[in-house]
Amino acid sequence: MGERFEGRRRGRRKVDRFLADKSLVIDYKDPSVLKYFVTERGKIVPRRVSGLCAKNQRKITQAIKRARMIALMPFTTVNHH
Amino acid sequence: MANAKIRRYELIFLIQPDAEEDARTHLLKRTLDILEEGGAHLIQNEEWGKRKLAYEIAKHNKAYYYYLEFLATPGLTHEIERVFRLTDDCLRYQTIRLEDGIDPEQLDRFTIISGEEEAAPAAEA
Repeated sequence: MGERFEGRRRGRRKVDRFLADKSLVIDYKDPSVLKYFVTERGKIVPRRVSGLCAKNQRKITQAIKRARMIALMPFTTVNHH
Repeated sequence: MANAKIRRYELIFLIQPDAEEDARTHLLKRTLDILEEGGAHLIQNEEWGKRKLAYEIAKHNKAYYYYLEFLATPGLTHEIERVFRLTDDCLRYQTIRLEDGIDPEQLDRFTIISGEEEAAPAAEA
């Protein structure tokens, strides 16, 4: 068990950037912040990758979905190749 | 009417890019009129202008964005949304409830830019 745990811990340590930087707010009207939490295809990044705490992951998910509704963010992006 | 709880809302609507300025201001005016008649208090009124859409809506790649923030009693947004549904130029609208259960007596903490203060409840009666 310990081995596996250590294996998973290797690499960049993930920090909730909204906890680290209080001036950053989750707002669905601001795609420049939201874009860090979606893949190139527009999918929402899971928490194990985004490193957000549960509360902020929920907020970001909600915000991305709202931003999509008013076309500030894409639902999907088609890869041309 | 005496003590209905107030909610804070945020409304964004998108108008198709070929709409004349007249048509756009008309729709905005109509929205503001409904808010005023319903005794709402406007907090913010922004025009974001013509922006690129993240995806195509009804064959359009751009749209005019309008942003409103206001205090209103529950149900008033239904009337606004009904108007948007009937307006062909309106590509999208989205109302978000930001805050609920605000005491009507405690509105001082908001900066209200328009809407009647005392006249509204009287007009309703």
